[in-house]
Amino acid sequence: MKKLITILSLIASLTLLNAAYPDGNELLKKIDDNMLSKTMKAKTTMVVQTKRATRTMVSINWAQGNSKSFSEYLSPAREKGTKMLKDGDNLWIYDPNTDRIIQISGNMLKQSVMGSDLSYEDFMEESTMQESYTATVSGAKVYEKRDCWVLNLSAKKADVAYQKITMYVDKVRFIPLYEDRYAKSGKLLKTTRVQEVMQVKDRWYPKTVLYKDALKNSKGTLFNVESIEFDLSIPAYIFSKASLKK
Amino acid sequence: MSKILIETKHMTKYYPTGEGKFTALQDINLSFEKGEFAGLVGPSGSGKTTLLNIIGSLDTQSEGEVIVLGKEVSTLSARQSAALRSKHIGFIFQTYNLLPVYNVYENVELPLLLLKMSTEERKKAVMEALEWVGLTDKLKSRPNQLSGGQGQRVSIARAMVKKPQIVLADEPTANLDTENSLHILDTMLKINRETGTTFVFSTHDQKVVNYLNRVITLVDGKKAKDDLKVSV
Amino acid sequence: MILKLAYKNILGNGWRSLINVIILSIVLTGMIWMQGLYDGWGRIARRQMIAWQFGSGHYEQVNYDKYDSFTLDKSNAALSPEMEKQVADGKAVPILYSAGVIYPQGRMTPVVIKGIPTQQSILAIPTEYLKIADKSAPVIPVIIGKQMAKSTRLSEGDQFTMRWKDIYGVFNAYDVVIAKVMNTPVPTTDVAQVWMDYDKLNEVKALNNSATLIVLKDKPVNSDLGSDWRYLSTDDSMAGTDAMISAKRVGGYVIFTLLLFLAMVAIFDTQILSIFKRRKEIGTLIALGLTKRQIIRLFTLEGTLYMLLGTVFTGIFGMPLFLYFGIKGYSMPVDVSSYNIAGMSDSIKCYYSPIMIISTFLIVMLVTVFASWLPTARIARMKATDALLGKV
Ligand SMILES: Nc1ncnc2c1ncn2[C@@H]1O[C@H](COP(=O)(O)OP(=O)(O)OP(=O)(O)O)[C@@H](O)[C@H]1O
Ligand SMILES: [Mg+2]
Repeated sequence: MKKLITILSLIASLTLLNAAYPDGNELLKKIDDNMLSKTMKAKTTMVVQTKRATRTMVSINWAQGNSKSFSEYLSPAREKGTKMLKDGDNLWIYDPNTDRIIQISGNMLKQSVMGSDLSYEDFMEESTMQESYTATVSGAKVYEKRDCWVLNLSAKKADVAYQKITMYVDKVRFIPLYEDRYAKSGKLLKTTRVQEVMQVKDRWYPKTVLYKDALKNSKGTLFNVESIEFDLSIPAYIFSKASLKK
Repeated sequence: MSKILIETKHMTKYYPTGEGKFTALQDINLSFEKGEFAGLVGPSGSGKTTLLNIIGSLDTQSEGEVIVLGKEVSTLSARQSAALRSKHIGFIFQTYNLLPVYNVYENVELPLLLLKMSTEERKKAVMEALEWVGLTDKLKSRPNQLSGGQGQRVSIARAMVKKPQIVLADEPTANLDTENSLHILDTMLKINRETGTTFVFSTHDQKVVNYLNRVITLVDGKKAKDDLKVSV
Repeated sequence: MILKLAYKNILGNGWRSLINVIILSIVLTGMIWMQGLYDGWGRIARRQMIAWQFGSGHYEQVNYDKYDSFTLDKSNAALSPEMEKQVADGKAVPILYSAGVIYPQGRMTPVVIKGIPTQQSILAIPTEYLKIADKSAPVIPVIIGKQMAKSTRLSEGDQFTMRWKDIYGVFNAYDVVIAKVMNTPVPTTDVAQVWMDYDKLNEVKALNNSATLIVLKDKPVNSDLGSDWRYLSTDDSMAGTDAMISAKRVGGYVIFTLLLFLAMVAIFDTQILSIFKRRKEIGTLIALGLTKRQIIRLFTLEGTLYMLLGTVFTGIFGMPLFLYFGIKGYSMPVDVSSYNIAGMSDSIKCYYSPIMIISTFLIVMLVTVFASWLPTARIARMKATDALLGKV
């Protein structure tokens, strides 16, 4: 109920102060431009916090646009050598323990990636924000000492998994620092909080991000980018099945 | 000339042994007529039992012919030889061989059950046989409740109940005292006289020999003597 | 005559015969009881599944595969107007399935959400509790089963969030309240199942009067409902449960196969000893004019008589037991009840079908005859003259 009122009041304020705010869709484009790159290579850590233990996974990731990516896990020892290749709608995983390549499809896509709050499906999302949502700015807000626009996204199509998203976008760096994803009913489902940002050449990029399933009693999954490079040239074989077994 | 019931011609019986074969009977030529009261005598191991078994078609000869009631016994099938025994041959054994779970009446009745007789016929025949041996008062007794002499009398009744043409008795008195031996010998002789049944004994017993009208002596499987005595 | 002799002989065998007869009657009693138990279980399970889950037959949307939970969200089809009329007449009840996740106390638990009309009388599910009085109320009433309540530690009145995807893959979530914890004996209506109103589920799935299952009150005259639907008779629906019960039954068979084996060994042993002890008798019977075949028949019959006496014993001593379990029933031990099979929660009344009893007798009889006959090979090999001398 409370949430609904907040949203309604946000919409109300939007109509009042319309002129003072930038165009939401323009803002989305800037976010997409900032977050997306032709190619990318990053070393990341993923910290999965469960009741019993905290697991840290280190991986190196290569990506080309939104459609191709390749990851290799470096640690922990149990996952070392595990590789994951995404090419369009296909996803393969190489398990060094069994020396076999498995194609992840159908049901398996819903499974969690290494016990995190993310499923394989989340990795398969290819549409950009602009393609999926229309956005309006409903206000301004200071979040974590940064000046942000409050951006309300609503899905353009009926088959977008989250029909509503609220985000606080850094006015200058165009990074969504705060993101709440809602169910059709308006119930909050997932939250994303950027805890640290970094500058890579001339762009700003989230360095530490906490993902959480809002309905679950969990501390969430913490993503940390150790190092990242954009628009480098990645040899084509990286995104081939052959490189899984290397 | 009386009717010949049993005839052996050049009959020889070998038993296979470890190295080769043992000759239990050799070149036996014998014939028994209806109504004979004959006996085989001879030392132990001379082949008496073997000869009786072959005549009774419990065993077969190795060579020669054995004709019993007109049939060559060695050519009979299992069923035919069983039929021959059940209809025409009665056996009496040294150890009586009564069935322990049957009472006297049932033991005597058993051979008749194989002959598909009606209950009344059976009852009549059993009672008659038991009268011969003087045991009508022991109908319900079990074999283990009988004395040796009574037991052997039951076995005589069992052999006689079907009125066979031949009775083969292998040392019937060996386990009996003199009194009982004489009693059963009297009984058998009486039956022999009254019914004309042929009796062939095997015996060591001088008392038995005294009753016989023919004594065949076997020695080492060969017929040594065949004496016909004048009937007593 | 042979029968009488056989009978007298085994009476003459005394305690040995008694042991054989007792073992055989234990085997018979146990086998009949155990089979009666499983048959009774099958009948209860069937009755319960008809009452709680499948009615007198049901249709399944063709995409539905009960072994693959990921077919759930694809398995629905709109009811035809004729079917809608049948539903209105109380002759059919549509049920819509959806994959879902519930978060009781923030613990994520995958479930199957089942939408069922509140006004139905075909299934025993207390659907009246699902009625949504206030259409605008944000909390949806649901029913769960007793086992589900236990495993999720939920009770009536508890609220929690339930999440699912509509048919376009869009996430949706509502708070739900447990209106009723029902005491269903059918695990497949209980474990990991959440029941809610049919129309509401249709609405939140972005569907309209669509179902995954249509449960029928009576057997349909013509079971063809077009290419969207697959008809399953009660027998079809029971196949899985029957198979599970059969699998349990096999466990019971092992015990009785061992007992039967023991009985066989006992009879076999008795026969061997009997043939050895009575070899002179065998020789005598041959001398009296019985064929070996007749003697073999005599000995086989003696062994078989144990079975007949065992049957009499079973009749006398087993009958009260059979009646007790047939009338009062038997509660399955807890360890077995952990298996998810319908019928377990009730005390199971054993059911003894004539076919089961006769076939059990035939099997035991066959084994007994075989065990009695097998040692008689010795008789066939015996020589009459040796037997008479007490040699074998
Ligand atoms: N099955 C057999 N195998 C080998 N030899 C045998 C067999 N039966 C008997 N014999 C031998 O054949 C011979 C004749 O035996 P048989 O029993 O006929 O003698 P018997 O005259 O009846 O002796 P007894 O007066 O001691 O009864 C004996 O030397 C015996 O050892
Ligand atoms: Mg002898």
